[in-house]
Amino acid sequence: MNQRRSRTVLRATLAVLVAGAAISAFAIEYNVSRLTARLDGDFLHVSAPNFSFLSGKPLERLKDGASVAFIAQLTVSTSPSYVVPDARTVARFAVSYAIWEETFSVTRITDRPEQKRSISHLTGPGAEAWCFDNLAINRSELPVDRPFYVQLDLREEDPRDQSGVIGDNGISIARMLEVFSRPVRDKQAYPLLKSGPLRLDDLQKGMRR
Amino acid sequence: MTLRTRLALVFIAATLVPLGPTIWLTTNLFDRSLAPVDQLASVSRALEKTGRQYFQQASAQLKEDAQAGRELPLVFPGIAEAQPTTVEPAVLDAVREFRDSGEKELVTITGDGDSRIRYLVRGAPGDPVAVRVWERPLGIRMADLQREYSGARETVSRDLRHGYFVVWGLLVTVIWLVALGLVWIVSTRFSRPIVNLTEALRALAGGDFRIRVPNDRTDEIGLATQAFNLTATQLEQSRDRLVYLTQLASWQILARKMAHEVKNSLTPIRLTVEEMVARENDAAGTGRQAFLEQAASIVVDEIESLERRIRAFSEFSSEPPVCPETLDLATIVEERIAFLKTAHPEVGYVVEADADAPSAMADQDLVKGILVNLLENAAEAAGEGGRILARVIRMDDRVAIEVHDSGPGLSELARKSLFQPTISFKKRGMGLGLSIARKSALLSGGDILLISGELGGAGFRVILPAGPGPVAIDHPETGSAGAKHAIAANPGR
Repeated sequence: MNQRRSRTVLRATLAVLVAGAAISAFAIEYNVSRLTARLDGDFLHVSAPNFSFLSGKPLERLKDGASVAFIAQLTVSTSPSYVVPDARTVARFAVSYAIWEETFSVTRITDRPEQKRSISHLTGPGAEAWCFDNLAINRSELPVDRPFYVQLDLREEDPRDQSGVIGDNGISIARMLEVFSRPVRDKQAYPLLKSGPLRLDDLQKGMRR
Repeated sequence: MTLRTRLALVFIAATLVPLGPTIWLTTNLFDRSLAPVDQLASVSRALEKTGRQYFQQASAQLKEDAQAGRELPLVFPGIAEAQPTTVEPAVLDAVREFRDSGEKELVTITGDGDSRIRYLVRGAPGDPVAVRVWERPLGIRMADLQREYSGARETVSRDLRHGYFVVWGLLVTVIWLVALGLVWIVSTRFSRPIVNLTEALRALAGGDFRIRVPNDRTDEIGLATQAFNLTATQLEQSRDRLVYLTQLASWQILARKMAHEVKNSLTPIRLTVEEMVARENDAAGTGRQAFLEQAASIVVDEIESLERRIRAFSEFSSEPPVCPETLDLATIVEERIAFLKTAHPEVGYVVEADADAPSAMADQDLVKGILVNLLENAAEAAGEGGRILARVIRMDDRVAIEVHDSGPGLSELARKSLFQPTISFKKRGMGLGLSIARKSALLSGGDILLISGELGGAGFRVILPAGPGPVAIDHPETGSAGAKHAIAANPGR
């Protein structure tokens, strides 16, 4: 009788632990991929307090003295699973690391020189926050009378995409050696950051407070 | 396997066999040559640590000197109009950025090649929004250090072993394939003339004396080709000469024989005519009528003899159309012998036919002509009381007629020139009979062979193509169809 009872207790405990682990994992994932949107003046800005993209392999390469480029796309749509977004902005950021001062520098890369912006002497979170601050959608593009969803897709750019075996000077052994010596890099996988459904009125109220 | 394929296989074997040691050697060399990369990894890490410590020490020293007042700052008041005018724009930008950052203090590297250290502090006595800036040389160019460090880390991060192997493998493969292609081309270039020469030799052996091999080479193969062409030319010329001489010899023999034969007939004619003239001048009337009749008979005989000879030559040169048909050879043999018995009743005849002897596929007139010739010869050779054996037998997929006689046989000279035209060893005849008979046999798709005579004399075998099936034999002498049988003619002789 006691044995049966203890087995029942054991099973119940295991079930609770498994459920707790699943909920925790979901909560962590939900929390990490959670995007916070706010209106700042005429622009919609986002932030992800629990998300860091300057980590892992990109951070290793930065600390080895290399520059790492990221491409970020912020979209607004009235449906959580959209094909064509209602509004969209794309930005490319080149991040570098000052080895001696242990600070980050970020440059927003753009085709138009007057829009090029950069900042230095930042901490890791500071650099990430600066990138998010430079990613904004104009208020006029947001749906006024309907709830909408905000989504941020961030990816690391692979430098290999931009160069092949054949360079400007043709094929050379040094060039081949350089290409075939490149380490096989697994691209850092970042979660898709989402927020919504949101309403423009709610965001305006938040701005007033 | 062709010479070209052999050469290519030899090349592949000769180059692939040393591949194992080559890969082992290359791997070893790569590993040894890449050993400094590991050292570079540790050196770069040490450089990073040292550079950072150096910066931290310089930073701490500058802060300490600044706080102790051992070094005077450059002060940038909060009022925009009171900014120092002699400073570089870069310093002003740094101050502005520092103000915007909201930090209380900042130590940064600056200057040409990052060779200076700058310390910025927010606030000054009496001006909390002012920014004080201290700056001094670092003594080394930190940008150069960082560049070297980045380069070293870039090298370390690369998989040079993989890169070397891939590039090495690619280059070796490309070079090997190019070399194989060259070997293939060269071996083709070498083997092609040999193949051409072999084909030409085969054609030459087949009787094509006009074959020549095009040659534009001067090496050993070119010399061999040249020698072949010369040999072929000489052979062709020799063949032509031989043919001409053979033809000439044949015509000479023919002319000699014709002259002899014509002379043989003309001589008695001339003598007879002379005798007729002489008798005309003698006393006329005495036995004149009898003599004229005898003389006329001699002249007519000789003229007929000349006609026969001319007819024989004409038959020899003529080529009538061949009309093959299915023939029952035993019947034809019996028929020919029945005719022969009338002319030569003094000879005994025996005919045998194999029970499984097939029919023949040949021209009936030609076969009859052959048999007449052979049987006539046999009867003449056998003579009074002699015997002739005629036999029809199967020979694999052919059929043959054998004719044996009990005559004196053939001499060695006769055997050698038996089928040559115009040579006769008989008292009568032209010597063209056997030539015509063999020609008829050849035209029928067969041949005539001289074989060992079974009756002590000569023996001939006429081989002919077999017909579509065996012939059903039903002879009254044996009363059985398809059995081997014998027919006796004049059994008492």
